[in-house]
Amino acid sequence: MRIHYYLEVDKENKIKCLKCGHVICNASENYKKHVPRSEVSPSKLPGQHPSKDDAIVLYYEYYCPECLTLLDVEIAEKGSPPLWDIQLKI
Amino acid sequence: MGEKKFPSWGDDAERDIGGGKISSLNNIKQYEKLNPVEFDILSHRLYSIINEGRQAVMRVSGSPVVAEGGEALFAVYDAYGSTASLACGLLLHVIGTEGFIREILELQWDAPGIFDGDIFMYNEPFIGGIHACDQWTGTPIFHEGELIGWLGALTHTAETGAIEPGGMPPSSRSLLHEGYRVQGIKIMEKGKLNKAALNSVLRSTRDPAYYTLDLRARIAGLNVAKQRIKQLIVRYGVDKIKAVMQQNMDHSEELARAKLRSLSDGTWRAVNYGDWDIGPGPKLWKIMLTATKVRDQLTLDFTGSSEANKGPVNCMIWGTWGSIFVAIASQLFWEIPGNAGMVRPLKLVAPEGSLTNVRFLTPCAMCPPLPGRHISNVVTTIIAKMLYTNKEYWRDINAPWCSMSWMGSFWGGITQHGYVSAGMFGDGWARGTGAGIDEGRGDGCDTGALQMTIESCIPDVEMNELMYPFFYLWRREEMDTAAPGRWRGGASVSLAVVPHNTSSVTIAFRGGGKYAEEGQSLDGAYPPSLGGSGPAAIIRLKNLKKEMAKGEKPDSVEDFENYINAKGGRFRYVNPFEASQRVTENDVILSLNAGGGGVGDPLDREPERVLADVQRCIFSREMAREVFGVIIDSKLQAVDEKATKLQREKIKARRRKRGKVWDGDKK
Repeated sequence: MRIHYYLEVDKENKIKCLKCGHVICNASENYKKHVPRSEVSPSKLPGQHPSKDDAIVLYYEYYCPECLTLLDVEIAEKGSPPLWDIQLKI
Repeated sequence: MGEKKFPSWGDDAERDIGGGKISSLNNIKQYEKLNPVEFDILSHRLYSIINEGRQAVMRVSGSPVVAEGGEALFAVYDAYGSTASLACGLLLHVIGTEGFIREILELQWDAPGIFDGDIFMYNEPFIGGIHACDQWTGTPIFHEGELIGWLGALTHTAETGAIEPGGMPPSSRSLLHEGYRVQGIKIMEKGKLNKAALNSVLRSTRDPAYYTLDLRARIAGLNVAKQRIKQLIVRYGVDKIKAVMQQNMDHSEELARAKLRSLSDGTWRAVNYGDWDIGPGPKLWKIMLTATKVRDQLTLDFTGSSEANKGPVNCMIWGTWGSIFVAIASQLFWEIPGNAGMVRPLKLVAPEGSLTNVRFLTPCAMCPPLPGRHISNVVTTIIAKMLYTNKEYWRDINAPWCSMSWMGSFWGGITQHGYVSAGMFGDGWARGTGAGIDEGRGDGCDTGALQMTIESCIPDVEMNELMYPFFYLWRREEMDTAAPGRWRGGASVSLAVVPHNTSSVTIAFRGGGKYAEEGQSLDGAYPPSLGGSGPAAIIRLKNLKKEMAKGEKPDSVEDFENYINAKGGRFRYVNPFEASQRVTENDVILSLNAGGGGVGDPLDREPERVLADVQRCIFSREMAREVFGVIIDSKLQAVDEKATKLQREKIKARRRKRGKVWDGDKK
């Protein structure tokens, strides 16, 4: 079952990357705790964004560990734990 | 109304309300079901009647907000105020207006009584609506001595006599600062205008002319629709008209529950931030949503959202309901006829005292453009994630599109025609919409619509220039406003206006995005931005009026800089909120709007699409290079494939280097 643009839950109830097939974690877990993430200042992007000094929330980027596809750009306070945004009852 | 039982006379009792009786609540819910053909005919007829009423409102009102922008809602309700069918540009208000009818029934059934030809007026956000600008008039529909329903018309009337012009004062610190609040007075009694009641409003506003136009427009719409309903009763009989109202709601509820059942059960979460309250510095606040779907019920729990702000960036409970409805009606149940049945499967948890459910007299004028927009955003986000679980709905997946706006929105002063007026710039309705996915529409629509006013049109520049004491240097799609993703969001507008032919005018700013990203995207796309012309500002250009008379016309931020260097002047970047301040005919007011959210990793976007975006000025070359990893050969106006491949590998290598798995749980 698809749960995200790049993620699905397979028959073994594992969350899997649809692009490369990498198995990330069990469907009952927060996938964001099993993939690399990095903290990025919004000012790194072109356009009008909060400057590095002004920004009071940051981008947290999450990547597929295998194909490095950008899975999510979470806006959050510095140091926030990954938001459990998809918690299916499986 | 608080927690009081409605109706107070119980579900099984009927009541004499002056102009006739109202049957018991249980009685009106019992009806003989119409056959499918009759139901189809009558439900569509009902909708076309109220849509005609709405069109009448828009054609009679002279206000650009209503006539051009379409900020008008029209609805037919059953006898107890449940919305049976609605036609609206403003999705926000449908559920909130039901509270007005309930209070009329509770407070006025005995004295002065409710009669055919009465027209009641409300704009109390604690009872219904969203903020004081939302002005509702409603009229009962009687048939042979029985109240069988209500008609209601609502417009956004921009001037409320608040402490600042324009109806949404940034300096409000109490609901008492936000202008007159009418509590169900009869503007018309048994078909006759109540001039004393009318004067109590007209003498409380800076702009009685616009108020009168909007009021008369709403009355005209109600008259048109009431006449049509009476014709319908003559043709089909009253029982069928009462039945179609109930069946409409039951039908929508059935469809909504069936759709929910077709999606997986689970819990989804989303957060959206804001960055300003009353100043002088930023304040971080957030809307936190935990949505849990079990079988055919969806619970929307806003526990974890910030406490109420001190300024007007708050929602009364009806503002929260309305902002939820914006997302539900446009994203989840878009194919289901809009009425009260649609929200019966929803349960709302909004902690009292949080900015999703502020207490009485807490200021809330900015509910629609700020916390309301964030509420629509988080609900849209969780709907998109829910829809992934059923392939049938993949084409409906939509990234959020209620992104940041930082505008000199509200003006007040002397018009070019010599009278006092006040109003609101509606240009921000031309927002980029959210992207879909491969099986859906793909890219968002540029300057498509504001999610909360989905049927609205952007007011013409010429109409605004005719009615308001300003002219435009520009209003255009702004580069880099769209969210970059595999599918990009739609681009939004920036605008630059200058006061014109006025001896005195003020402007007030509202918005966000200076300190916190407020927009969102989905599944790897970056958030949208306010574009390349920011920050929002008031730019003083020395002798601008004289220079323009000689043919000078600055057309970009770069032109402003060149003008200042050559002839004098200064930039003043504004805070997200600034109270009304005098501006002159040598001041440019620069306003910005961010675009729609995107979907997916920007590195997955085909380079040829990125090239087309750059050629159309949707994205800058810098965005193409740094975010999409696409290098464009400037001479050939083509993608440099080799350099693009290298750039994309470089971006992925950077991700590999800096990405670390969260280990906070182990600490």
